[in-house]
Amino acid sequence: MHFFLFKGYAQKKSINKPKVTAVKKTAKPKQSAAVYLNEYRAGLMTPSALDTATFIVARKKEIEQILKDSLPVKWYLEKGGEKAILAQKIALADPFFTRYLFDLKTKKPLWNEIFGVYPARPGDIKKGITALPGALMRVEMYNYANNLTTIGLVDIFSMKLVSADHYPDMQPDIPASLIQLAEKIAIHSPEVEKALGYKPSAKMPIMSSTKTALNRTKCERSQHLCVAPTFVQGNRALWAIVDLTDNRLVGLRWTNTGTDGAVVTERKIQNENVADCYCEKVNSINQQGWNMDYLLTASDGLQISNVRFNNKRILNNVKLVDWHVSYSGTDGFGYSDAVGCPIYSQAAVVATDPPKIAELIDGDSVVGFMLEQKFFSELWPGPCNYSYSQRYFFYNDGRFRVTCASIGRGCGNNGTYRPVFRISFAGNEQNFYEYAQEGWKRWDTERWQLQKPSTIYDPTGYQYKISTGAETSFYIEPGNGQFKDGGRGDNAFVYLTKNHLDKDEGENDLVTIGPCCNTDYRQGPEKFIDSNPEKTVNTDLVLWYVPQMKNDDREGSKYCWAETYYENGVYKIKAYPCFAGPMFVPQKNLY
Amino acid sequence: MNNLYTNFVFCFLFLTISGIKAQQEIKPCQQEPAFIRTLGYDPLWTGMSTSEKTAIGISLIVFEKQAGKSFPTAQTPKQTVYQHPSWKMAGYLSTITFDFKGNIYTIPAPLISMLYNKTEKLNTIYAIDANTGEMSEWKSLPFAAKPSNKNPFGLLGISYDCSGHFLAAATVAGSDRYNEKGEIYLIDVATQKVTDKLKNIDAMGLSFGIDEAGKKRLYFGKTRTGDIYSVLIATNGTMLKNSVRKELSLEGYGPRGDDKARKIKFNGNQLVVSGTAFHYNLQASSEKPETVYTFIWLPKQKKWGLIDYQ
Repeated sequence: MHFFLFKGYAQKKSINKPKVTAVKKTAKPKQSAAVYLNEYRAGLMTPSALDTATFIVARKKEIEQILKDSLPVKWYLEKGGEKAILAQKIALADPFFTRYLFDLKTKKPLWNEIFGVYPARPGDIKKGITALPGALMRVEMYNYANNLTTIGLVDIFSMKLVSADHYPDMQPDIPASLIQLAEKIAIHSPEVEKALGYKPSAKMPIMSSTKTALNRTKCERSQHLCVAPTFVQGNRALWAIVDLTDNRLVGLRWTNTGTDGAVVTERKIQNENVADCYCEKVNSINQQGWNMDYLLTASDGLQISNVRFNNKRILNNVKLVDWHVSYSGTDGFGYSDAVGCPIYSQAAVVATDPPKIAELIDGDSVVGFMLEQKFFSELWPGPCNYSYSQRYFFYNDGRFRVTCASIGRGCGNNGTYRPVFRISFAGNEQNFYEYAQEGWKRWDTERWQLQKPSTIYDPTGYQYKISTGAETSFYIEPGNGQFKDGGRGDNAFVYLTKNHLDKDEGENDLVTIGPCCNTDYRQGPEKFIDSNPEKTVNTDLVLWYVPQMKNDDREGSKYCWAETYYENGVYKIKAYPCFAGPMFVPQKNLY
Repeated sequence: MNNLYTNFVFCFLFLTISGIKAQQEIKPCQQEPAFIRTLGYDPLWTGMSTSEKTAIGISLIVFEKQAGKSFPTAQTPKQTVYQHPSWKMAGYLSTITFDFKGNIYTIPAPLISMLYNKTEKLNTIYAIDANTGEMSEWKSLPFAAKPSNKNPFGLLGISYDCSGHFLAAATVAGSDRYNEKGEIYLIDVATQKVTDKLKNIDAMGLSFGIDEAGKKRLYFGKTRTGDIYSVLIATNGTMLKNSVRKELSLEGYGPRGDDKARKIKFNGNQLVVSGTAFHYNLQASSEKPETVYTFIWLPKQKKWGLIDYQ
């Protein structure tokens, strides 16, 4: 029943064939100048698309071949003739120059390319270096895996490397062959064609290979080698940012030529696109009987609101208020992370990619869809950096599920994650029930409860039930490892509070609701339970759901974890998400 | 995770530079706070920090004295960390500056969450008395607009002027994506009165210096671009608005290309700028590597030239 395949339509596709209707509801609608196309961290569940363009296939084959060589380096053969070849030979024979050709621990070959060989400039020659005129050559090599530049100075007369330096996070001028590759990737991209309104030709992009032009774009987040072929139309220029590590188009942005001197980078494109299209715009979904709005908040994650199924209003809204992360090794050490918009927000872990919508497939049928938003720290999956996923599932039969996951990596292997969901059902005459020995038992006042191994479920696995009106009730099935998303059980705190329509108890964006490191029920929602708990019978209610997930970095049981691994000469990311969250199952047929 | 805006200052390693050429630093005047000796520590082997992982507020770091060395470095092992009970009152803090009496001034900045910083105090400068070591609210600056969840910050920079004894403070409180409502204040330290302000400028890094004409300027790093601007400061503490000029930009430089000037300081005729990402959110600094850019004034070209970044 719970086996699904995600048939995701990446944002790339939805640009051309939108499945989701974007509805502007803000007072000042603004057209985004930025388009972010794809995520560089694809692979959590969605396989990355296969490259079919011949020039990319050829490039990848070339890389594969070079990685098999004794020195995994592509030589520079474009200019300089025999002198340049000799200079490379001398440099590559020196162990200091070649120090980073292989992974220092595993000794696996990393993808390197010599970008240029030039006569040494006066500034290259350090004090104490002497050589005959014309003898010194400068060799510039780039390491794609480490985003590292190595510059060597060789004496081609004495056949020696006279100096070498390694520069992390630095990229040399790219050779003509890479300029051409970047142009090809841009020209053959349907997104560029769509933005320009025609298919550009190879002669059209204007991209200087001078240092200034090359430095005018960065892929700050991926730390990849990126350049920006630029298409000028009148007084506007379309920047196409191309990632030459992954050989793909990252994004597009229009700028005004002349007046707009700002640098267009990967991060700017991502941030502006997400802010323009999802933080400042309410978007809507109308799919498989479900209607809803969704908005990326400043600090409460991706919020869905006005959720209806078959025209029946089900939810006022649902959002993810906080992530509490505590580490057991150090008393009181941890963080309260808010997730949300990438700029002008109170988020500590931010959305860098747009939300995705994917079909849920069971066997040969589409049984529903999923709305997902991911959040990232800048240097994830490095230590003490975080990534989270938020997923809403909606099924054709009226069920829905609210989930989230930590995708590691955090500050240690002794961390517990406690996300705080706020779920507000529609209806003014709600009642909430718990399954007990004697059957369904109503909660008459505000309270909280912890899901434990001793918790009693009804024969179908439901722990709670909420009736939202005379004809509508939902069973609540907490995670017990049954959802086949890797989740190992929610161990959740559940809080029931009265939803005051005349005062704000979390309806608007909440500032951090609780501290990082409480290990008991004091996760924040208890603040809304009065010392004299209010009645919760036949009234508006809010359900707070706080699952607890303990991370694990042990081989074979990694959970709430992420790490890098080696593939084809570069490092990629492997994620072990820990999903948690309840399923809501309609008691009565909602048709 | 360390706060992006936290700071560490070795208390008493102020270099004296004499002779003014081109754009230059102002001769440092800061003194050691007397309370450090009262506590029994050698000021030379201490530092004030707002970036201690497990301590909210400001801390006095006492370093282990090492034979053959006359002062500590960032790598020197810590002997102890001292906190006066009042030093936690403002929540997480960021920039620290000293005056000529040894008083310490610092400003609040939320770290990762708003849990420990009150929104209404984001524009309050705190001072630690040089003699008693007690921290208290020193000056609350007005909010240009109501703070919102679109911007968790208020004050982002302070700097002490050793030649005129003014304190400059930059706040971005009330700014949002479309409205730059930040202000840069100049405050007479003796009277605690605001002598002037620049409106509608969001800035973080601040530093006083002497320009190529020998006049005092306040240099400020904007938070929406990588630009550093300056404004002439008159002896009476007014800022000559028509003298505002762009000095340089970090745009496109460094490993990220979109750094903002978090910290600006003069080192002789060099301008040393600590640049980092800043997007008006609460992402922590462990995710935001910092790059130090060194510029030198080129008198012939009348502009700053980048000579190094690391």
